[in-house]
Amino acid sequence: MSTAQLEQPPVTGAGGHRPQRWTALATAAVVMATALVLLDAPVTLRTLVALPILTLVTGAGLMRMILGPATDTDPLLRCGFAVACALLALITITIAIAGAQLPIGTTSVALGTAGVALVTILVDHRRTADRPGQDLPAVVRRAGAVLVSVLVLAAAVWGASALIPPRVEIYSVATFADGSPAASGPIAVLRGQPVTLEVIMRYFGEQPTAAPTATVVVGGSPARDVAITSGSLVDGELAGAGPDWRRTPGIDDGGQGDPPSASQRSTITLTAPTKRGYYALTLTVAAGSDSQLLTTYVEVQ
Amino acid sequence: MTPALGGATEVRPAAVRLPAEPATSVRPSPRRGQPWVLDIVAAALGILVVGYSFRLSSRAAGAELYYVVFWAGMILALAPTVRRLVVATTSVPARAAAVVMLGAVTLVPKFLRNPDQPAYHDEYAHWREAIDVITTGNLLRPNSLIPIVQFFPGTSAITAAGQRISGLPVWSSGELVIAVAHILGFVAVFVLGRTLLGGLRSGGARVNGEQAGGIAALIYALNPSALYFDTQYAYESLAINFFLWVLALTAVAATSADRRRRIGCLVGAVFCVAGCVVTHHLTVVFLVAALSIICVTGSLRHRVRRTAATRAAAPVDDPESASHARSDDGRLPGEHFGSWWVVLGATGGLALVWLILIATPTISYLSPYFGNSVTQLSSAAQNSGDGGRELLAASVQPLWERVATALAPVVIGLCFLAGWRIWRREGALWSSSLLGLIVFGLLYLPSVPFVLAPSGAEGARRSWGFSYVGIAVLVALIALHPPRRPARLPGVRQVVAAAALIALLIGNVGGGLNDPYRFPGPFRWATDTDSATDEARTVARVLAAQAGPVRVVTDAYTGLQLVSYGGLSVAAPSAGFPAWDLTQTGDDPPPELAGMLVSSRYDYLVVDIRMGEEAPFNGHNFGQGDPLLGRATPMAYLNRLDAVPWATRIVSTQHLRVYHLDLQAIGAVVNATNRVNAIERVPVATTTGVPLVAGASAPAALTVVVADAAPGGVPLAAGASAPSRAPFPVGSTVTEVEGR
Repeated sequence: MSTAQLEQPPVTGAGGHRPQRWTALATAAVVMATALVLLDAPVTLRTLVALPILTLVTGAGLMRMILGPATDTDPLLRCGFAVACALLALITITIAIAGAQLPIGTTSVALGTAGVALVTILVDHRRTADRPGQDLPAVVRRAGAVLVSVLVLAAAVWGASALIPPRVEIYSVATFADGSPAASGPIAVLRGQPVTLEVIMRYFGEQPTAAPTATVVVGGSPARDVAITSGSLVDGELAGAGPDWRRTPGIDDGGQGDPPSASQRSTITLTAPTKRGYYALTLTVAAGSDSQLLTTYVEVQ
Repeated sequence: MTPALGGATEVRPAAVRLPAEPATSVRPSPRRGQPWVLDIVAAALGILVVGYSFRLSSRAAGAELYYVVFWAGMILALAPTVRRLVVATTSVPARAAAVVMLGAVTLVPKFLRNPDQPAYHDEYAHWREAIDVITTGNLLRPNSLIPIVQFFPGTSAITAAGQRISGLPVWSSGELVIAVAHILGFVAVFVLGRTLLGGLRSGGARVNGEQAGGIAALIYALNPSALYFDTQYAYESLAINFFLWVLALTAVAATSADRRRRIGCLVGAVFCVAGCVVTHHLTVVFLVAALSIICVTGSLRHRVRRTAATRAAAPVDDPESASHARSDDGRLPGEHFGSWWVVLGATGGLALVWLILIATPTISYLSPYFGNSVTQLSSAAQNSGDGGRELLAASVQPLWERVATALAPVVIGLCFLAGWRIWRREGALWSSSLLGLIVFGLLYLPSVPFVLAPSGAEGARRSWGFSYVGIAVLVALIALHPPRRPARLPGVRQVVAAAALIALLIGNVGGGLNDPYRFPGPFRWATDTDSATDEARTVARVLAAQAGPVRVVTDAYTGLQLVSYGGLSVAAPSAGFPAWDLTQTGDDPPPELAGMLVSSRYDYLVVDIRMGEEAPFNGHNFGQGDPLLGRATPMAYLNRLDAVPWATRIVSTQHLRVYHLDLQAIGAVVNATNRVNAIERVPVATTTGVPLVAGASAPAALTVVVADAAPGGVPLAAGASAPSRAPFPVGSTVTEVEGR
């Protein structure tokens, strides 16, 4: 790949002059890329179009400001340094935004990067208005070769990735429901009165094969009058019961954790001991071969 | 060519130098349309084979098999590219493309290792940092896993910027940045090698700069960090490439006759220095070291030359060149060595400003590593290995890879010997920049013994990513030095060179990260990578949703998931804050520890019971201070948590248990006769206190604050006796100390 062509803007004829058309074209590209970002265009479009334009125009502009207008010497150095400048520019812009006490958000980053890009285009235009340009067909040919190479390698990486088997995990998670007294500490109850525990079971990888059953031990003895009432098995997460499993675009990734295959809320009731005291309570919820244990304390008054 | 060598009056810019009289070099082939398809296809096939090796390791195939398949894939992927890099006839664009291809192929193993999510220790910290930056809109977010990351926002800033513009997931955005930076690094080494060696008269011929650059980039790709460590999503992976660009641009400035170009390169180098400074502390340390060594070496050399110039000519084989090589004051004509001093000054200044204004804790963060490693190395030497590390200790690595690991320093040592011989004959022709960089590469040799010291091992390995740049240039010089005698058997030199390259490639990677870091595999307890489970990630999210961003005590491996996926803060146990006592002993936590936990609001304990089922792969569950080093935690220690009055299990999975701690209940009296766990709850003030700074231990003497009964205190239980223990002291707090 010749990098000489990449660092210089294309023009519409071999041996021509750097026309003002390039400045207009680059400006339009930056404006379009910024608009794509600000209008929340699809990620693919932003990744393949907006990001390269905003960063590479900025990087190439900074490189030309630092190393001087393009010459026919050392294209690899200039091209590599242009990309390095793009990385450095992103860091600098973000730190500058933070330094200005502005939030690092889509708008501030996009506008900041676009601003720097436009400044570099302007400076470049003033300095190199009459420099010879590059042969557009040659640029296109080389870009095509690069694109094909990238696609082949990307396909190979995708294929290699597909060869690696994912790790499958089957497990369940038992928690006291948020509103349950047990979730916030010991349960205060009067002697001989009913105690209510609310439990949420989340099943990952597969659904339970049987309805849940409960075993409760209070103070080392089996509890009296234990009953379990289970809601229906819900695909995915119970509404409002726990973490928000929805993917946040741009933040949550594949490894962030998937929502459960199914979840279920159960209410367990039992009768409190008849003696005052502070009792350890052990609750075992079983569904088929799956069994989970939770503990809490009951303060009998 | 090195400007000094062509005579004082005819010095062309480094970038445009081409071999004037090629001897070791051959004029690049004018042939166009070279079989690039072959290179691409070979790379693609090699990548697929590497993927297959990962499939084998994931399915717990024998290590011997998947190691062989992995290296077969890598060699297949790299072979055509390597050939293109080292052969003299390669055209300039083709060699440039080969450099890019070299960077791309060396990215693949790490990318395939964990393409979708963090898996390495530092990756968790940086990923969480980037997410926190994006979600809060501010830089410098506190980081529970690696607190120092907070003060070096370069990685999180560029990730956030890329993510905001592209809309990609944070992880993908970070991976993209590292990929681009990684490839850029090889371009920098290419430029560096070409600049310092291009046109140099070596063995009576002029060195082909393009070929030298290609070989330098190739050798640099063999460094122990190139394939895995410096391709992970972390600050060093980004900063080290800025480091390389600083050296490359400064070298160009130092050898450029064009003032405008020199100034431009210096400005560019300083820009890259700034990138280093805001991104990674250790890279700045190595940058200062590299620049200082180059500057001092060059200055000493100039002094010696000046002295010698007043006496007699230096003894070199090529008197004609030597006469051209020095001016009256002994300096190499055309070499603007002051460029190195300028960049060194800028680096020192920028680093100092950043250190004072932003990153003050860096000094306390870094200082223990070097001091401890020197002490441990000394101790290891005196005690014949006690307390040290065993070189090539038992692992699943095949024997041949371990042998290559042992051979790699030997090969490098031989290269230095060969370099020394060349230096003795024609060192006068070397530019001071070249000499200084090679001297910097010499740091590799004294760093090798530090691998034996627990604290120094990581630092030594990490130094090689930097010192190898000097080695790369040296090896390129040696490779292009014409042999004094023709080989007796044709092709022997090529075979020896290929064998040495393969030994370096395999040996250096083998001496870097361990098997779980390199290969995906089935669950293995106590590794950063293979202990990570969806189960732990789910617990992190559930606990965060239920309790908020709370502070948690847990083992070193579950903690990675809790911090990165749940945004929780995890305790970093130490001798002064032995939070490991909650699970690593069969007793209740001592009062001092309980006081620290309560005051610092460590209200939750997360236990993975697999720590009781198998010995930790990494040797510990809670860091090197773990009282049960090398042993599985007795299951009784874990199960008793379901019976103690100070813990209640609020979340439960097949392997993980989340306890809410109520340490005020420690030491309660259990009335066993009627099987009622009657406890007396002693209210204790939970002052907020001032957290200790990162890296500090808890004070030896804690202030005891015994509180009066607080409102809402729980009445005595029926039948409970008086408390059998004194209330534990509170009033001091701890906070998580440094990670790695």
